[in-house]
Amino acid sequence: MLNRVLVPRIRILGKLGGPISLTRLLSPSPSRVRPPRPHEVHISPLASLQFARYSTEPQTSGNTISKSSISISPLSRRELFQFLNLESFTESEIKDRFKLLSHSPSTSSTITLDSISKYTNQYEFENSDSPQMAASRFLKTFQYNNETTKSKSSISLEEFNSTVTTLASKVDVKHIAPITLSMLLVGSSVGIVTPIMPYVVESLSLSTHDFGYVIAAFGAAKLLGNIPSAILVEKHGRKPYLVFSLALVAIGNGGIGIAVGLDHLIVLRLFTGFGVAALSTAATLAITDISTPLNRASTMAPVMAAFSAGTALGPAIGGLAADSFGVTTTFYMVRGELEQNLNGMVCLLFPFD
Amino acid sequence: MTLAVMNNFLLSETQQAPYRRNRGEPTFLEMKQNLTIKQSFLDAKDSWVPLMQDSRIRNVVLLNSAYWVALAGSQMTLLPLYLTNPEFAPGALTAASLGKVYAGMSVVQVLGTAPIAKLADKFGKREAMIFGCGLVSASMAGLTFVDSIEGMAVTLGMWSLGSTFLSTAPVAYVADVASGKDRAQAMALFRTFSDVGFMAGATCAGVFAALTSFAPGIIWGGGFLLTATSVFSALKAAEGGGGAGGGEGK
Repeated sequence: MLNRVLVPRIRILGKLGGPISLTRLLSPSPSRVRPPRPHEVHISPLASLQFARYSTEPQTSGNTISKSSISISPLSRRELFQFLNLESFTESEIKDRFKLLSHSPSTSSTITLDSISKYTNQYEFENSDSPQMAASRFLKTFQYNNETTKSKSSISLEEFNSTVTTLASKVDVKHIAPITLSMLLVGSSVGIVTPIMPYVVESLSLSTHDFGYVIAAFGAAKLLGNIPSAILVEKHGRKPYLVFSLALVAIGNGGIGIAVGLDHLIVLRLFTGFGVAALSTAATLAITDISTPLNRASTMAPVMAAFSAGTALGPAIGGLAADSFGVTTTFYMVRGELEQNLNGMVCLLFPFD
Repeated sequence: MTLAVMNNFLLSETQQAPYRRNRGEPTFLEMKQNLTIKQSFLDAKDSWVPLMQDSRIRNVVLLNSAYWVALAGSQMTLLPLYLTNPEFAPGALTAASLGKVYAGMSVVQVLGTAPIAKLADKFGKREAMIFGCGLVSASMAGLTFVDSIEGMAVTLGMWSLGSTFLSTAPVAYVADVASGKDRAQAMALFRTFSDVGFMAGATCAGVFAALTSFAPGIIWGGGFLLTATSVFSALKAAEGGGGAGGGEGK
């Protein structure tokens, strides 16, 4: 465990004259170790020395680390905010954390490696970071993210505030892009069904009353699915539900192409409703995880806009697809399995339209 | 299905153990993950009352629910019927024109979401909600008085812009003020109340329009939303503070 995280972050300049990864020295399975991040740059000489001061305790399961030159990766934004235990990100909360880390009630004091270490000694850190390592990584974060603190070994309140606020306001585009794409396509697949449903109702000889049940089934499933989805997403994580809920939506929408009665349609719309409830819950919580109160609405915006765009585009796509390929084929296209699925052949042989 | 497979490769898990923890104490994430499904449900149930007792969460959840009552009733149920009815002063729209109207409203929402979300982050999410609800209710009431297509376009543009304020601000606010361990249930309650509002709004508007006509139904939606917004604003003012953006209210 220690090796897995500590090792990629620390390199020693060995006798061969270049940086040697400790992975090879300490880990029996280097392939499982995360490669160093591009931003894992060498720490300034001053901070290196200070780190060396604190690294006298054994930190690598009995292996000693040379003090000659050590590189420490900065904390990620998420790690930094968790390190500081920030929740509201108000100016007063940030100031409180500064006072806590500087061990001084005065705002004119500074945070140094010494003062941070007093704070980190009270806690345990993820990835087997020792308190000393966490303190060094914390300082490195400010050196890495703020030009004015690049070569400094102490942080003033102004620098602390500006770095934290800047990092907390930045939108994490890398993480939201795939969620945005998912919501665009899910919005489209939900919208595609809208103009085609009347044809399905007609082909199955359903009454308006029956159609009402079909529409209500989706709403009811979505309504009833919210709370269980939240419980499950919290228990198992966001990713499984961002993946499997899509499969549920796909089955719910694609299955309409082969439904032969009202009960089938209702069950399929229940599937879609539960799928959408799980997906929305997982997507919203995933966005919440990667955002802060300073950028939460901005982080949610692309996802919401994509879903709106999808639902707006969906009916147009659905209408065009139904005109060009037929109703049944359109539902299969939504399911995305037409080519590989045996049922696709059935639907082509026995189309509804 | 293709998207599900793609997501499996593209997405990374965002729910991670906190970097810093108290010595020897499990994190709330570990505690939640160690619960059985039944215990998780009981745990969730226990969090609903405290969450709804928090006036910041309760007021936003209820205002958002009122917004959905008005939106489902006026925009999604009565608006298409009103615009295609001879009762509409500038002349009944055709199905194609109605499609263009809705497409235009969607375009406003899609283009407006990001800049408006930035404003909400900067100036306050509750302020954004009040402004958005005010815009929507004014547009709902105003639409029944327009007598030209241009007037209709402006009114519906404002309507859509108002809705855009509500697309991110309320959910982001609830996420801001709920604590990490209760956040998922706070969001679930928020969403459930929205869905209830949606279903109630469509039903009520339908009944009201059947008893009167489309225009009074739409005005009723606007009036209902305006009342809810006024109550929300008054409660917010009574609470005091928390006017700034970001982590307001915490």
